[in-house]
Amino acid sequence: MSNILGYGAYLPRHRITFKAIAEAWSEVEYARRRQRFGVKEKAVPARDENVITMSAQAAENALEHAGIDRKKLRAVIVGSMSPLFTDKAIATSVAQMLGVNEVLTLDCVQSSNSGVAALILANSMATSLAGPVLAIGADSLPVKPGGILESLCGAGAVALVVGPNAGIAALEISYSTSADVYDLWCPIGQPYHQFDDALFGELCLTTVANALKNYFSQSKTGADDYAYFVFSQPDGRMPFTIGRESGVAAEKIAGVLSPEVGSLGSASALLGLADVLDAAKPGEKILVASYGSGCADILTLKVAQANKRNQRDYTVRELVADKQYIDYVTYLKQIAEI
Amino acid sequence: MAPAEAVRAIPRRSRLTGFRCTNCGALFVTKRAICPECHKTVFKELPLSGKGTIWTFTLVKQPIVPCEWMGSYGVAVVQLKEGVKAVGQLVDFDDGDVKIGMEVEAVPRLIRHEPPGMLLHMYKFKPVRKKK
Repeated sequence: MSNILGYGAYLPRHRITFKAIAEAWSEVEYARRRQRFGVKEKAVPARDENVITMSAQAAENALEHAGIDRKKLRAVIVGSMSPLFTDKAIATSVAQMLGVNEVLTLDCVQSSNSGVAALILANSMATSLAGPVLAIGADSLPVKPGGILESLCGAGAVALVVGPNAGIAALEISYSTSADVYDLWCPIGQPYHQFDDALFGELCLTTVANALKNYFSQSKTGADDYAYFVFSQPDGRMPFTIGRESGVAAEKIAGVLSPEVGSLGSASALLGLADVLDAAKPGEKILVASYGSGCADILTLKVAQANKRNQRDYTVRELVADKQYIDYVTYLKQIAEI
Repeated sequence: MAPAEAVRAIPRRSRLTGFRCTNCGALFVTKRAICPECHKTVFKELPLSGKGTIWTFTLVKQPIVPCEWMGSYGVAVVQLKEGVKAVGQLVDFDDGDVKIGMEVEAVPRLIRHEPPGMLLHMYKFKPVRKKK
């Protein structure tokens, strides 16, 4: 078992509201249909930002928070469903930007639970490699203007430094399931993901709920044993839907930030986790459950000590609140659609 | 740009790096063949903090190729806390808020897409957020 030594998040400053997108695509059906997703606005990367730059900045924040010598890092793992190359890891570019090169670099890609998967891997690798490991979840999914994902997908990155020594929270056990499905996928060579929103919603709900049920049974625990539940946030409603299905009280479902920044894919559950860690008290237990492409990953943590944030650190809520609105034309320019 | 040239450029572009003369200790942001202070030729590379204040700046309202995709942008000479100055683009600022003496920090950003299919990144400077 390893420990979270520090964490950091990065969100682009720019936001576009759901209202601005709906007004640009003024069909009444569009506006009405997408309101049910519960995403009010989303984070939009600048033209010179991408998953590499966002990952590197989140990693810098995490390393500063952890207060460790970055030369002691043993691995950098990046989970993302929006890689920039089919053959060249995001993690190698991030490691270069961090100024470390004696590290294992590895990408977990192609699923929105890749960020939690990276954290689960880091939990093991910090022990096996006997040193701190960076686990990063980052996404900036290309979305088709006017498409359904445009109303959902934001951009951002979260990084956690995981190490064998005592830290802010101890990573406990994990539980994973997988199934071969087509609900959100992108064939090689195609610019945009295919998305069946009804099927995705059904699979996300049933897969995570069943995984939770099995995990509780195997671990002989229940919803009462955890102070916080952090779920995947493909939209603003799914975390609470999963909670209702799984018998988790709504007040325990925490870190739901997709209404403010959009669905961040691989960074989604990790952003929720970072938000919870900002407020959680020593001794409290957190359960993270993430979904992506038929797979569910559950990871539990126990908060170990007071979370010391120095004067310059920002909480996740402060990062979310640091924003500047853009109009739809500016948005299209920034995502390189015009 | 040939891939080999991109590979040589990556280390100095990815992270703000200084070069210190091993003889007199003078520090430079750009690599030198000869130290202008003592005329020796051996330098030690060291990472710089990237933190500093704006020494001077300009805001470009009509960018030209290859920066036209940026829209308007800023360029600043930053006095780093190590005592040397570095030049870089300014990002994430509001017009009217940029001032000489403003605290900034280096962040990695995309410079351009470079054929064949490469991404060129480099440090740029953005204002340090102040806790409210």
